[in-house]
Amino acid sequence: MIDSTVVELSRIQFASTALYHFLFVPLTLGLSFILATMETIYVTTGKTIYKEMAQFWGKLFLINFAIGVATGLTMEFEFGTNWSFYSSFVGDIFGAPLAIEGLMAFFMESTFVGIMVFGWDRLKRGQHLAVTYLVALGSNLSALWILIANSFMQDPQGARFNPHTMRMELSSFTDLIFSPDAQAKFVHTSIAGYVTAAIFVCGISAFYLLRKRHVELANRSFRVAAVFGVLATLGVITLGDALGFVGGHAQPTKLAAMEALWKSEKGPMPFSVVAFPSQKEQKNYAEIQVPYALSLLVTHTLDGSVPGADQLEAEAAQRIRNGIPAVKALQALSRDPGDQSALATFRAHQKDLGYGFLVQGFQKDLDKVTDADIQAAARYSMPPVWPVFWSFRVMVAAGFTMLAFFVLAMIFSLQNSVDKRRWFLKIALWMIPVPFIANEVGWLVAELGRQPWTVFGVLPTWMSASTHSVAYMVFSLAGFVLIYSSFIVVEMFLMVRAIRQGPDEPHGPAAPALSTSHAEA
Amino acid sequence: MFRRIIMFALVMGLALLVLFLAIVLGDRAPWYLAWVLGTGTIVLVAAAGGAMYDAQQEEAASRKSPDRA
Repeated sequence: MIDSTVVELSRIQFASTALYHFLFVPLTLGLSFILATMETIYVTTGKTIYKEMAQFWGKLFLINFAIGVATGLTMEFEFGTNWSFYSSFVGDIFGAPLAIEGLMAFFMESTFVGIMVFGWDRLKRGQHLAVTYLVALGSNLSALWILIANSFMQDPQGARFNPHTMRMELSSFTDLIFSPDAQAKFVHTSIAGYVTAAIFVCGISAFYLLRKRHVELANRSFRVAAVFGVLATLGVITLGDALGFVGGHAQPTKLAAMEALWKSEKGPMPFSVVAFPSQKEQKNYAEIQVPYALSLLVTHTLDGSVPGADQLEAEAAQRIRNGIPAVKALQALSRDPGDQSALATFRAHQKDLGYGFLVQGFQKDLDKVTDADIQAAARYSMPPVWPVFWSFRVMVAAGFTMLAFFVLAMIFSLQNSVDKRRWFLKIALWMIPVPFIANEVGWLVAELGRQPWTVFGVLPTWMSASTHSVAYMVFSLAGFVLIYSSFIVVEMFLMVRAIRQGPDEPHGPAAPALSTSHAEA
Repeated sequence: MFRRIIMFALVMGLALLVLFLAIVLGDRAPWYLAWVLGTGTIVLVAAAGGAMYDAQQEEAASRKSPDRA
């Protein structure tokens, strides 16, 4: 059995590298489409200021893209180095989308990024615009494939376990890529990137407007980002609801953790806006609730019920009892692959195989499993409630804060009064970290809420890690934190320098209020 | 003439592809279709918002100095 410290260190290492990486990715996803929007205006109106805008924001996009690729590269290898049993167990399914993601990111996206950056003087306007759209498409399609792989971990679709090879095998590629979780997760994550980029562009534009620098460029950038952002935020909230609805059915334990639901009740169920959950006591302190809201949000009815931890733990205990014969049959098949009786037993119990594995974390020898072991494993099947509950609330609060910000930003921009409202420009500047925080806590909801599984209901986390030593894990974790922190310092330095430097302005720093002087000959 | 026919064939091919995708994605992958349509809408509306800024500025300038109108 793998040392639990090694498993925890492997989790911390993956979480820290993923959270670092996820600081850069959403900005790339969204900024690429904002660049495409600006360039579309340039191509359709012929006004060169939009070309300058696309070039300036393109410079910031490039810095972010480079660091994003560098931090993403190691994660692909981390599956093999730190999660070797997981890679071997589900590699047939997980490997295909991961490989396509690599091809999308490194071939399509990187190639077109190069052409986009160096092609301004070499391509016609329409050709360059097509390249910019391909960069945006490549970035988002690359995210699509990694999110399909991730969705397999949340809701394993399109795969079956082969008792002879002892591995999961792909049964339907279309079920894998069209799984409801993959769809809702991709759209939610991709549009969260749009929101991140829109806040980023608004914030940096506000910085220039506060200092009365590059005013023409900043006003136009602010307008584009405000309209882009208000629509994207509406989209991300809608898709958040869809993801909660889909995820609630696929992963009821995650939903129970998100809502700190300890006891199953008959609908209508209230939504806890604030609560202080105690996992040990299985109760909440200081709850503030909104009647009917949980039924409405999760079941889309006024009187729907959502299972609580008590019901889910009882179901898990039953599934553990049913899964133990499946694991025993698997052990018999590994000794004698021709054992038809073991194969029949396995077939009868295979849907609960993962739960059989889960109890082995408490009692390795399945012949010695007691009721206490089963109860302990069933209780362990609930994710850590406190961080999931609060991460979810921080994400939702950030989402609605950004929506309010974008509505005001759009109104002020449409009134052409945004540069006169210094208080709002200061808020815009301080809004820059908000989507990044929302993205990070969103990741925590998704991945902590999946615990204690790497593949939900199929493969427990404790089985998935590699058999490294604690010293190796501590050393590599320290190395990753050090290197990734230096990446962030480099990114911040390059970004701040590029922002302070500002765009190259052939018209001079105080370009005249727009007129046909911006029209390209 | 030949160029127009080629353009027509290309645009018709694109329209058929979009229809095919709409049917296939709409049936099996409604959220993916929503992403395609939503992203297109966001980009186009934001571009229109940007272009509107210029129109507003030009209108304001022409109001200040009617000679330029």
